Amino acid sequence: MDNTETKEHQVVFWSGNQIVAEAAIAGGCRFFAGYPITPSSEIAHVMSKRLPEVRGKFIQMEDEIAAMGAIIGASLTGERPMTATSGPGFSLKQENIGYACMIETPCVIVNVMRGGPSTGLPTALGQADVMQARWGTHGDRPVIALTPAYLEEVYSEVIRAFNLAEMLRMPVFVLIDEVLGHLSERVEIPDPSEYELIERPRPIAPPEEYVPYDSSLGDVPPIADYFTGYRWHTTGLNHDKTGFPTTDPDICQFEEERMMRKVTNHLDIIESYDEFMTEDAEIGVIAFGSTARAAMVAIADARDRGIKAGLLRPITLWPFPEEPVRKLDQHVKAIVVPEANLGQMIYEVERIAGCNGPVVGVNKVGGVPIYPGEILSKIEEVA
Amino acid sequence: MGNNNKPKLDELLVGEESAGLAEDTVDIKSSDGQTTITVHRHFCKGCEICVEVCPKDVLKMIVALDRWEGTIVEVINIDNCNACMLCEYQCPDFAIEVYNVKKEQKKKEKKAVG
Amino acid sequence: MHASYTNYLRMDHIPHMWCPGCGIGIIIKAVLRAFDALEWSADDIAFISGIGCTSRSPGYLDMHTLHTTHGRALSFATGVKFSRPDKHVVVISGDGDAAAIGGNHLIHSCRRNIDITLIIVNNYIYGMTGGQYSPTTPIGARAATSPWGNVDTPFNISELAKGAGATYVARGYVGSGVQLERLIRGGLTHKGFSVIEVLSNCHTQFGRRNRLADPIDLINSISESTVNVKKAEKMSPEELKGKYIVGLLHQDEEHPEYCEAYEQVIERAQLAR
Repeated sequence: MDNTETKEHQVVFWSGNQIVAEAAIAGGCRFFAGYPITPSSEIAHVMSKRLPEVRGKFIQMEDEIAAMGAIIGASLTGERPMTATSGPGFSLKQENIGYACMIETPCVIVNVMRGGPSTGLPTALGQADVMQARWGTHGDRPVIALTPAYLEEVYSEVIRAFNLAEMLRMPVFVLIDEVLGHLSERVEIPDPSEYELIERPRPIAPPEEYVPYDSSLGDVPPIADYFTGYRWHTTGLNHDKTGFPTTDPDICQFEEERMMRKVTNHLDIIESYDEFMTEDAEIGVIAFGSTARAAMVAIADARDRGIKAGLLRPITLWPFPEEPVRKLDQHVKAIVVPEANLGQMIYEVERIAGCNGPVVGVNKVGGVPIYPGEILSKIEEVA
Repeated sequence: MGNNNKPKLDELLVGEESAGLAEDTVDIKSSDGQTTITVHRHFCKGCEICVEVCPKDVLKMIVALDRWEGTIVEVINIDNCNACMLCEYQCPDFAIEVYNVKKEQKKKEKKAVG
Repeated sequence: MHASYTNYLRMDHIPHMWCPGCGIGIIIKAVLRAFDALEWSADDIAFISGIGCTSRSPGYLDMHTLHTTHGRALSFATGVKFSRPDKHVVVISGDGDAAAIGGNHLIHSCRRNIDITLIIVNNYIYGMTGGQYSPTTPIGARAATSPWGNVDTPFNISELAKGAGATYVARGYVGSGVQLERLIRGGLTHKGFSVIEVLSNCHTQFGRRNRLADPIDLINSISESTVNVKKAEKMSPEELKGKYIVGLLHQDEEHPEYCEAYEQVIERAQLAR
């Protein structure tokens, strides 16, 4: 680890996992609960060392499910908590993730994705949790999943994850793959004055008037921290605005739709994507994470060969950036979707893109990154 | 104690005939004014545990078809009550409370001593 | 309501949903009497549960109440307590919730010795879901999923808690609310992980299938199965067969409590900076 102080920014040479941990602390995280799982464990290692240094709390729980439960408990006391895991742990956490959505507690879950279903390829990359991030829990609930591709972006997106979680009272996912988690690169750490830490809405009404899910002023109800004089009830059962269970179909419909609106009505602050040479592109490439970095090289190579290729890179994977895809689709004759899975994001692209031309995937699941050459071949094939 | 105080058919009180049961909460005071048993009739589910545990035959179940399960507890012998508190402590429904002047005094003294 | 412990109730939600004669009501009352005796403020208490009939308790109490996922209450409670060690965190859970799906969190919370009080309502059955056998259903008992008689050996939950490292272990029963309040109060004031197992009556699901459909009959049967810990010390294993030992079973005041131990970690980290 090599840090040299420059005039403006601290410059470091850190791995992605370490960046995640440091960014979390910069983002106000003082509570981490986790469980060892490759390739995310280094996040826990760093948090276990750094949190006590800043008077925060780190705990290694007995399993992934407990780690998720613990951060929800901590969030209720006003903490900005985080947990980190990989695919199998992400699967285990789903019930409690749904619970966090249902009772609307802010928290951040980092998934350093690895290969394969089941135990898979623990030390190799994968991008196969795209659909799990969207649909992993039973029932309907809103989703935000951030997919940075560069370590500086990992830093800023982790801080943004905390802010989004707080603003919208919901769990937010940060999905990086094993490659990003383990590679090290030069990163300029932003000065704290360059970003804001946004806090959850807290009640202005006195305790006797507090209604935990009062949406009369907006879709995100103010949430009272435990032990501040506000005694309230909540449950994973469908509940009304008082936090008590209800089976009234109209109330259930209303509250569930309101929860979804927290995302759909705030796309302007949530959505983030990057575009490279898409304005005049004839072949569109849509990729995220480390695969997008390979795609950048492929785009440059394609342009050298006279093919007008362009890259659309979602930084918010969910909610999926529909407008940019629609716009791209209008002027390209084919779309290439490279992803380190057997086809997941491609379903969203197919759903949104018209039938102007083929939408084809480049799919590798052996744990080896997709090479620029493989993306280039596919671009040439559809050009 | 026990099954001797189960309601019999001829003690049936139905609907508006159960005029004495109109109030939800009733306080029954002993003759010496020292003990009060409060029954919250709207909470009593007729489980009969209080009648069972009472060592002094203070309580009896009566039929009240306009209440909950159709039977509720009735204080029939308040002057027998020695404020053992068993009915209150063993009632699952917060339906019966016992207040005794001497016991309250003792409790206050205990708290003062710490 | 006259009794002061009823101030902890959300009276607009009473009467509660439990069956007439259900032991959970007796147990909740003992818990509230313990809070009252200790003069704890509701603003300082988090009351957390999992899923089941027992786990419906928090809704009725006017404090910070959290109804979580099946078996997982202790993990949420750990997050609350570890963030706010200065506050009181109490968990209530049924036998299925705590010892089946929640088993892992149970043993690790015991091991960690975090200052949380856990009340396990053991009514030998999964009540809410219709009377399936649980890890504490006696051998031979009939249940919705053991119509021919249960062959699953039951846990001795208190022994399990003690073996896993809990530093306060007690067993009470619904037949004696007076003893129960005392045992719970001891757990609440104990600094470390406290487990109070309470033998309780689910006459609707367990009793009905086992010729004890009347709540009083079942409560009496439970009472008759208990032996006080002092008396049990003088009894032989044969005499204790089928009996449940009640009273304070284990207490260790020496073992470091988790949050306090972590405070020392924070201090060490400060010195090293």
